[in-house]
Amino acid sequence: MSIIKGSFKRQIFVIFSTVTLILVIIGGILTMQGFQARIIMDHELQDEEQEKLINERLSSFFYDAEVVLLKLSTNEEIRKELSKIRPDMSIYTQLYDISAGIRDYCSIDVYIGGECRFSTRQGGMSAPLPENYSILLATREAAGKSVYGMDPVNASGEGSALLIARKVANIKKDAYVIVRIEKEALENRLGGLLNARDGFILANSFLRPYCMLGTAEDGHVLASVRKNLFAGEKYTNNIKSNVYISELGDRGLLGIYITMPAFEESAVGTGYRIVLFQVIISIILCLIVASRMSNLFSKPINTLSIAMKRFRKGDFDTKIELDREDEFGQLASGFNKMTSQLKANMQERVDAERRVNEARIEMMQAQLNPHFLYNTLDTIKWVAKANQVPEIATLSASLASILRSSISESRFVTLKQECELVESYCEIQKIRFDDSFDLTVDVPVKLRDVIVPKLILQPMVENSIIHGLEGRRDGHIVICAKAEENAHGDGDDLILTITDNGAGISDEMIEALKEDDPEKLSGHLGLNNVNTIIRLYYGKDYGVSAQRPEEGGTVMALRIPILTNEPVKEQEET
Amino acid sequence: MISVMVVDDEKYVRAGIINETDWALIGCEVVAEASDGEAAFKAAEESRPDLVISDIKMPKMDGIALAEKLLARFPNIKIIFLTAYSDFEYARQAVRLGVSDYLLKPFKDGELEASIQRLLHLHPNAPANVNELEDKLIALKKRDEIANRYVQSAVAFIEDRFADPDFSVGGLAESMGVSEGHITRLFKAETGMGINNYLTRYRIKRAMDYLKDVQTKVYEVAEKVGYRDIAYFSNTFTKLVGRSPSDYQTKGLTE
Repeated sequence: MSIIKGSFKRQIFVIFSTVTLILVIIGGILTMQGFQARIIMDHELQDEEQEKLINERLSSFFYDAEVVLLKLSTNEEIRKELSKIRPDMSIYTQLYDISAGIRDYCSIDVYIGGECRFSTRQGGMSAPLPENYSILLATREAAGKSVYGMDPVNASGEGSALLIARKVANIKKDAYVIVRIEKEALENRLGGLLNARDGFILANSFLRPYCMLGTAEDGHVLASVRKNLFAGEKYTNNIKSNVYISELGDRGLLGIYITMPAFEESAVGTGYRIVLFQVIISIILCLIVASRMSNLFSKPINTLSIAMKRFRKGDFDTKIELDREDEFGQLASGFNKMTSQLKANMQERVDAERRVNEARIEMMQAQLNPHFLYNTLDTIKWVAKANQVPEIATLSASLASILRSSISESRFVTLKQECELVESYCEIQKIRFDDSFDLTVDVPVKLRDVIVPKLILQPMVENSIIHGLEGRRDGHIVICAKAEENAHGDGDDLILTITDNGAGISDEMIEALKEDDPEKLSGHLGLNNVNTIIRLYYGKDYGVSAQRPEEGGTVMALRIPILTNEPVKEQEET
Repeated sequence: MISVMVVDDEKYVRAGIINETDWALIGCEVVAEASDGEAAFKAAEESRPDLVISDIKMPKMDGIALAEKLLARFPNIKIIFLTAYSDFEYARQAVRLGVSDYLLKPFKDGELEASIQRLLHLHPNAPANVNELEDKLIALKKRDEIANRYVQSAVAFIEDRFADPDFSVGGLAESMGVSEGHITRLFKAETGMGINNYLTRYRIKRAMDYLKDVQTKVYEVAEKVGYRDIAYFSNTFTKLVGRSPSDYQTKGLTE
């Protein structure tokens, strides 16, 4: 069973074969049987008609004979003549006259006692008949009736002459008129009625034959019938031919008509061979059709299954090419859609993963770099110290400090940290600009812990150094912090001033800062950034302003609310 | 004297810390050095340092593991971590271990000394009395504790002339009529420190006194104690006191 279940083709074949074979075998057998029955029926009908014809012929023949016998046995002249002690030949006149109708196939004998005295037979008298048994005895006992019997003289298993006898009435002597039909005459008479393959037996009631014609000539059929009847079985047992037995009136005669069976064994065998042939043809057809059908069904399924396997192995470009419009076609296009969608999904996921990985790598690099950076700066510092170059030590330590503050993620620092950053920055700039300026930071202790945005002082100082103090040898920068009442009068603001003794800021810039004009401030990116950042965090009331005092230089002022916690940006980043 | 061990896997850094730190000023001396945690632990077993200055990232045994072992073996040992990168996880572990302090590399001049001074003298269990605290922070033998006459007069000379920015050991020897080498040796033997060292300590101690007046400006104090360079004064002050002059002025030692 598993062999069948393992293959679609074989399953189809088995189903097809089963259905077809059932149809072919049952149909074949039924056809054979029906056909046979019908043929047999027709055959039997034909046989019956044939038999009836023979029987009628025989009956009319016997009837004619009986009429002749009656006339002869009751004829006055014949009776008178026979009553004489020595009847003479005058009897023949009557004899020939009356028997004229039947004399061409039989002879008429007149017996007195056992002796034949007169006969129409050519070539002499018939043989004497025993008086005390057989036909003469039966005739004597059945006076006034015609009696049928065999000629005890020449009777044999193969037949005998048929004698029809009647006692001549109303005379003292025992005289009999006998119609003798020789076996040959019977045979001639009936032979013309028989088909070549039929047979006929005329027998007495003890199944002793008068004559056997056609296929019955050899006597086998009669022997078989007799044997069956004596054994008390159905008389047709073991006989292949059809046998019809009928009594011919009350004459003690049996007509046995034998026909060949409608079908011979070979014919039936041929019929079944045809059925077998059909079975073989069906099986071959089933094989072919099953193979075609399975191709029709299993080919797309196989294609699908192979495609699935490929897909499972990771070939996301798998596509099924099926030029069909049925369910398989729909399945294939569905599969193709599914694979392309899955591929798209996969691609998306891979891309997302890659983006995440890239971000992760960037993060890792961002984490790695500072460590390396600070270590290197530290080493530079110590190498510089070992080689008595204190400037390099200062540069590297200050740079590290600035980097630490600017790289850190927090956006806010304490004012103290911001000042330290500016000091570090100035230490570097002092070395770069050959100590051309100095920095003073004056922040009251109570304001040191105020939270300010990171890198708001450094750009201001940078601005002073690069724009204000350019080319001067005695630069001073002073950073001052103080508290001042705010615009609403409900608290203090932090005012950070960056004062330098440099060239002095231009009126244009002062105006630009007032108007917050980014285009004009664009050259001073740092300044603009600080202003933007402060306003972004704290609103329009705060920001950077500038003035040019009479004694020269520039005073930049930052106004920031005094907060000890990080503010929430007014316009949160979008 | 406080004995110190320096542990860092970088030769230049280790040498730099050992050579460039003003150990004598803060009463310390380096007794051992090591380039990794394992060697450091071995060296500590031999020389029993009071204080360990250690990098965190090192081969074989890192600073965290070293600190764990050292603290288990010598419960009173003090440890200062140096690290290039301010990693929260390191800081957390350091605090959990009870590591005393934590410095970011590269640190500026004076930061290590300040850190050591704070660690050794300004810890929470330090004496509450301000004078006592100051004496511990900047230990100076008083004149009446000194037996040697020459040294006594040298100290008197310092106490008299410390405000002179041009103060020199040569001038001191000349005024006393002895050779510079002789008085230096005598001084060192008597007080345990060099004359310049003593002078610096004395100046800073005086500066602390001056700064107790909140009205006084830092640069005025620097001038009063004989410094021309405010930055240098500020740096020296920070090394010894553990915090900047202005911080000290507003918060004192304990706040």
